[in-house]
Amino acid sequence: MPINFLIKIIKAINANQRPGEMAAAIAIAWHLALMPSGSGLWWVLFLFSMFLRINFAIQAVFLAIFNLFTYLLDPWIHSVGYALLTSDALKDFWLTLWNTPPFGALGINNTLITGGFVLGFVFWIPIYVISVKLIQFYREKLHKLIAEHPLTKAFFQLPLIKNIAEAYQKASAISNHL
Amino acid sequence: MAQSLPKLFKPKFSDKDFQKKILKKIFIPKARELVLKIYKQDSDGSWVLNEAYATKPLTIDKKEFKAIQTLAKEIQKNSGIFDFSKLILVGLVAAGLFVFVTFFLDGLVRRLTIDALQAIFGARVDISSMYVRPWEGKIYFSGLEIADRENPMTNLVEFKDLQVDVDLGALFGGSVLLNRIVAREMNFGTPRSYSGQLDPSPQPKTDEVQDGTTNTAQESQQPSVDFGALLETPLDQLPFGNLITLTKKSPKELFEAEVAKLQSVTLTQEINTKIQERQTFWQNQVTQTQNQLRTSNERVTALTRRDVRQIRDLNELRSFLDQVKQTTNDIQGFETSIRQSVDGIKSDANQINQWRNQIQEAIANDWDYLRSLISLPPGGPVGWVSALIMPEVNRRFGSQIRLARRGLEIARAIQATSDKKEVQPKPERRGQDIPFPTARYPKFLLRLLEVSLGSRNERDLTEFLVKDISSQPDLTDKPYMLSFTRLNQNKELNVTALADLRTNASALFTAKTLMSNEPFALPETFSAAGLQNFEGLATWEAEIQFLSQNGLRLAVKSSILNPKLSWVEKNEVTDLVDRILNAANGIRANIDLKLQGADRSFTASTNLDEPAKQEIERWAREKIRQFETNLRRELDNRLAQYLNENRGLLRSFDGSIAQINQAPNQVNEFKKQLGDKQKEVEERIANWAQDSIRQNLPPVRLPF
Repeated sequence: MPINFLIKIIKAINANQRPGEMAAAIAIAWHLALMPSGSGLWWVLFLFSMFLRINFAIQAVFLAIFNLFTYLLDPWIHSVGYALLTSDALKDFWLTLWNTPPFGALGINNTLITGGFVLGFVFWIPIYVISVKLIQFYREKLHKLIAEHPLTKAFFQLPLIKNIAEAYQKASAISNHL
Repeated sequence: MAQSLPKLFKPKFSDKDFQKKILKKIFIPKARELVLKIYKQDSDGSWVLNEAYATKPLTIDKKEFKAIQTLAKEIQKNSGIFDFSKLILVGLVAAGLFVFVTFFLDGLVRRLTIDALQAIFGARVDISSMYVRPWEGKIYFSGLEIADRENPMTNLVEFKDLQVDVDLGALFGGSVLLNRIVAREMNFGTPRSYSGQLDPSPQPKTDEVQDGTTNTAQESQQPSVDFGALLETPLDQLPFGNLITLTKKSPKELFEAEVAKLQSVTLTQEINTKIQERQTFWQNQVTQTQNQLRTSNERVTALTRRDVRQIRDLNELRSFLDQVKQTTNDIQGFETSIRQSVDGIKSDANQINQWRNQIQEAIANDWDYLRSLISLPPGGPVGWVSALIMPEVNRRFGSQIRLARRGLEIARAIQATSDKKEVQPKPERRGQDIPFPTARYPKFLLRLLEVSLGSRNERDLTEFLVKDISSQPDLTDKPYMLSFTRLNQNKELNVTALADLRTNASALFTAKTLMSNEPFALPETFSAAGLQNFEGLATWEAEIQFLSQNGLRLAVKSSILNPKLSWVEKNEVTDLVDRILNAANGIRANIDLKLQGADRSFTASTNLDEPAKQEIERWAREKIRQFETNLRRELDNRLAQYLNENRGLLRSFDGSIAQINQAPNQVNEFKKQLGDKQKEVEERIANWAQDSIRQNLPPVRLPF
């Protein structure tokens, strides 16, 4: 399974897939990672992402990567969530939302859920833009350098990697042909 | 050799279309180079295929053709952020589901229900109508009949209505809100108009069988409710037992039973003994005094009878004078002794008078005690009727108080369990839950649970109701309610319990009971009271409340309509009761008891108040007056011998007093006689020399 994900990611990066699809997958993975997994709002966002034209392999891989360290941000997320949920200015808004089905079941009264959700939104566009730029930079600048580098070629001569390389070649048909 | 390019790559594009449909969907440089290799731009700005790619069949190699095919697919995929294909798919599924639910679900559920129940019970199942509203969380069955496999012309069970109503909106809001769970007019063993066998062979309706079945079923469902046994409390323990005592015991029996407790008889005996002792003492004193008086009288008489003129000797006169003086001195000493006796007997007389007062006081106390045994209890007729009802109330509703306490414990346990669930910690990344006030629904709410057996129209119904069971009663702002109703022809029993767990509830638990039109049955105890039969329709309405501060409130309303009494033997008491009931036109009584901290009150009222007050008081006072007369006679008879003895003693004592009181007069007489005698003797001595000279000298003759 990890190899499949890896192949799909390599294929997507090197194929003519729109950079926005991959960047959106990374941004949504970041968004999901900021919230406690399994909460109602987490599932709503996750199901919503199913209807988007994004790269799910990238979303899954980056979600796993982000989850490795986002818990370190919990104090900060909690502070933001607490500040928002206890704000006098937003009190009526939260009360209305809390008492409107089905929002009451989404756990919006939890500081980590709301804090993570809001911070995910705040960082969504920067992460999206940065991801797009990085993908474009890779495709235009790095791809050729990496593909033709001697170390890369030596690496792909390893028996285990050969299989991956075959898949890579297969998946990157356009690039190989061109 | 490839045949033709993918359809995406049309032979000619306007510049605008080419930019929009092709170039804007290419994101890698080599793909752009490939496209620009396929197309060339004309002088008018339009894009057309190069000659190498415009021919049919194509002349390019297979490898390049595959690259073009792959590129075309990827360009087609890059068509916006939303995957409309998935959205359309979900939309179609939703639309299909909607159509299915709207047009086919009812029939499907009906068929599945019938099949499932027929498979379970092995007999025909009929449903008059039903509907399912999954969006509203409702499912409803009407006229659900399940036939009896063993008796196909009879239903095993039949429901008039069967419905479940769940609020899905609240469910999405994290609350379980059950609006209604109703199984209404459930009946067992009802007749069918056609066979309930699964093999559809309709049988003609047989009136005889049906009627017989119906009657048997109705008879078998007749409840054997016995609401008789009124007043099992022994009569002697009733507060108005005194009145009954008057009709049961004679004054002599009552007096003999109570004589050991009377003080006047014993006290009279004791005082008579003391008087007897004093009388004996004073009688001895009187005897001694009389002896002394007699002796003194003899001495005085002897002295006063002697003629001092006959005494010639001076010495003899002087000796006689000394005797008189000595006797006078003795009499004076005797007088002192007598006066002491008079003082003593007067003191004893005062003591005896006090004893006599004690006897009178003891007699009065005993009489008060005896009268108390036959007097009316405090509170008047209202209190008597209340006291009559209270043992019955305790008997009838004592179990409900225990049930109410149990219900309160269960309700509290539900709330405690609900609270525990709410505070269960999450394993990780918990954050902090901000406790927003919930304005709509608690976590769990059951608005109505209704199960009923029988039919209200046929006046044969057993119904259970549960309402407003909530994990947060403050939110629903209603107490829990449980209700049981039993309706049988004209009789109705309804028990309603309210458990109020709201924060500032004034009454924690309330139990209301209504029993109406219950035929009255005669208890054994009343037979003893001479009541042979008591017919009437009784209605009981009781409300028990557990208040804050461990308080309790009990309100009872009872009524007996058309009371008809027949007696084993008519007497004045039965006449009295008949008169009261006739005047009151039925029996109705209200009792209100409240115990809460310092607030303690008891009120009772009945429509019998006025007639009972008039009739009972008149009868009771007349009865008591007669009884008092007889009882007083018993007391007087018992005291008579002691009082007679007492009076004899007092007469003797008075005689002694009179005798002693006479002694000083006699002594004074003695003293007077002795004084006169002493004076006479002293004159005689003073005249003695003159007389002596006159007797001894010769007479002198005067010369002239």
